[in-house]
Amino acid sequence: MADSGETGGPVKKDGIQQAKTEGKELTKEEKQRLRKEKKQQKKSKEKKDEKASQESEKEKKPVSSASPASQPPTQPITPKAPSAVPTLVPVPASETPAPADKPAKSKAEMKAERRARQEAERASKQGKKGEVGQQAAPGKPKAPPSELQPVVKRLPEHVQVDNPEVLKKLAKKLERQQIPLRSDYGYKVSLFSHLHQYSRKAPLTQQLSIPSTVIHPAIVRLGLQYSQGIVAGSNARSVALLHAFKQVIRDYTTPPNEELSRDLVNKLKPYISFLNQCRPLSASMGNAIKYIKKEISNIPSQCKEEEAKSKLLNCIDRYIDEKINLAAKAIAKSSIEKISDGDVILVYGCSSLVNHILCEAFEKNRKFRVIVVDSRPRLEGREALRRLVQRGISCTYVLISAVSYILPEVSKVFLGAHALLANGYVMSRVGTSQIALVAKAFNVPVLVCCETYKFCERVQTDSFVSNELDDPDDLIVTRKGKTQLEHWQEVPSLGLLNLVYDVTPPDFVDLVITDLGMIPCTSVPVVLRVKNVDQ
Amino acid sequence: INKKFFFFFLVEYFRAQMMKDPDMASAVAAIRTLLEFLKRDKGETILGLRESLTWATDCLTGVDSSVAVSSGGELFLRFISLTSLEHQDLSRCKKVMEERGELFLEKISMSRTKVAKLCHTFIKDGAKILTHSYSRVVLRVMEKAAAEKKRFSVYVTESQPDSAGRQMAEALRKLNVPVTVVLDAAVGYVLEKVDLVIVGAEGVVESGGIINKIGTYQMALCSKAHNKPFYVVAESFKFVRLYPLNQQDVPDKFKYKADTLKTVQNLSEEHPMIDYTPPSLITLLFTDLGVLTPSAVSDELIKLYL
Repeated sequence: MADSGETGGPVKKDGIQQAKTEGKELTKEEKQRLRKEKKQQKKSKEKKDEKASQESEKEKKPVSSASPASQPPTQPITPKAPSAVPTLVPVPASETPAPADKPAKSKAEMKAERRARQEAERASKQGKKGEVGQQAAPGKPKAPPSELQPVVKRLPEHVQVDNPEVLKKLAKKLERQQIPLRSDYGYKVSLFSHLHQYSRKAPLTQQLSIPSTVIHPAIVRLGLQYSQGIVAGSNARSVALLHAFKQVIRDYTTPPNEELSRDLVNKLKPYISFLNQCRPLSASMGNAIKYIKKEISNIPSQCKEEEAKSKLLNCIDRYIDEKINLAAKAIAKSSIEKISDGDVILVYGCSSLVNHILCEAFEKNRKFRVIVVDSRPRLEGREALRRLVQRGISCTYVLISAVSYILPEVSKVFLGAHALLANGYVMSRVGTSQIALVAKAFNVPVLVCCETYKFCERVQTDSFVSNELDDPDDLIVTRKGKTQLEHWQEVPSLGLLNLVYDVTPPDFVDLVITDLGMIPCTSVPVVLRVKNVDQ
Repeated sequence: INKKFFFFFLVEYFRAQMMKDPDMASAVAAIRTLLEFLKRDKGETILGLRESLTWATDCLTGVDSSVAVSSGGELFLRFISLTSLEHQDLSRCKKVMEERGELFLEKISMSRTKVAKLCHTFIKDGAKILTHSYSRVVLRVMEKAAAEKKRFSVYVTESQPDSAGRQMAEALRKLNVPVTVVLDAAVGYVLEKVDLVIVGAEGVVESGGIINKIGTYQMALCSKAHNKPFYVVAESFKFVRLYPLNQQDVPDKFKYKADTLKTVQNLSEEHPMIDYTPPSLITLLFTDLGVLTPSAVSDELIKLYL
């Protein structure tokens, strides 16, 4: 591969000189093209230099952290390496059908050769170490027919925090949208150094000017509510988001010479970036945003503004009604069949859906008792306990460390979900997979309740690749007047890890109850397919 | 008065169908009965028609409480009403429904042959097969394998309380297949000699598990422990919209015979006739929709029912 690169180099130089000698014959377009090519060349050189400096940086880090750090990034990248290699093979083949209409055939050839050399270098670099920041590279090639370029999936920004290039791109994007960039806080455990870790004491809103002309006040409030944990839970967050968007739409006026369908979507983009900076978006929020964007862009251009706005508001109301409220009712109806008299049901944390189901079943006079399992640092189980006891359901409260002690008494486990991934894995609050594992060992059926709007196309097999790191200071607790971890930042070998989500394999889950009915965990892709066909 | 008359008619016709052709699945007999009922129904509206068909299925389940009858009935209803019934005239609609009913019946009478064609290739020459109780589908598979000149021997469990296994042994002897009848308790003992296990099913549930004669779950557990493949052969009309989580979760109306349910007060004294085998113990399911893994059953069910 390196050989073709070197032969490409001198050939290309001759080509340019040739073009220069023919200089007076160059038309304006050709000059522009030349300029573009030179710019691209420069960019690729810079990238190579940056990559080289990154390598040396990585080597300088302590050895123990380096090896686990490079392990997880290689795993998501190695599936991409084979996809890059096939691009190498077809591109040299495309050199031969050079575009016939260009007067200087040498230039097209030279372009193709240079591209081949770039891809060769890129592929060899990938093969050597498994670099992470590949997105910039596929942006360049234009002329080769599109079928030769297999779909190269770009990694989302929020799992590439240790890549300074990606951070630079993000900073530029946020600058353009006039949103402050939130900086990471504290020492990150090396296995999770590719994720953001923010501090709750430094909310993004402190860096905003008041009043902010760029961001709607409802969104600012929502961002603060997210980052401080005032609004928590995937359903609550989605509903709050939709209500805030309704306010935005109500206050929106189309500027002159703009179309509502395009302008409103552009207006929403900085808001979404801002909310993402305050707290990473959940899968349910992502689906809701996709839906809104689709609805907005489907507004016909001849629609009057008032009409369009009221239509959008109705759409949002209907989405909340159908996907969240009615879905909860349907799920409660199906779940009641699975709750029999004398059952002992175990729940973990506070899931609005599971609480709803248990309250409904209690209304229908089913005799059961509940064991609420809770864990630090969020202690969400206390909220669930409060809600259930208020209804009169008899409950027991344990911490997650006691789960293998009480499981022999349990007849069923009901879990909520943050999202259901396309390969059947359940993403939920950290600790859920532990409970599912122990329940499986005791042969207790595990039921997951999840609305279909939380189904997501992503595929994940472990909890490392994409997760959320919460404020590490939450783990600090004061007992008997002593705060042991108060000065954790001063201890160089100490890291605090506060994970938010984990991923449960489908073998541990017996049944998923959705608003479409009861399905096994492995049928999630079928439902996604059916939904896409409907839409 | 009308209902009583129809009730007797249904029961008699169903029993007659079962006696006429003992080889026919009870679900097929039920569907034939439902088709006759449809032809004679004097309902005025389509909704009324659907309701009376559901009532008829319930009556038939009261006579023969197998899972297959209820699933067959529901599928029949779905199949005939899934067309766009846009005709103004109710009698024309009914005619369309009747035609579709006949079509459905034709399709399912071919299903056993399709299953046999798919499954007999998995019986290799010199194989030793273990099967449970009397299943007409498994018999058909073995007939096809014997017709293909394969040499194999069969172990059949006696399958108490009705000793249906002996009936199976008789039928196999007629095919000149060497057969041994073993006790239900001897399944673990005999499994080391066996190459594969094939059983039929009374119902296939949404999770991909099966409902079958009592003793199937034990056999599945033992074959998993011995790492022997456990195959299930079932026609597609046996797919049912149940999702049991464990043995206790299977509804009582399927566990006991229909007369037991009506006469006996305290069901905890009775022996259940069926049990549930979870999908983790099943290797493959052979159906007329193809050879499926247990997780693909849900896919097919979603296609059939949604």
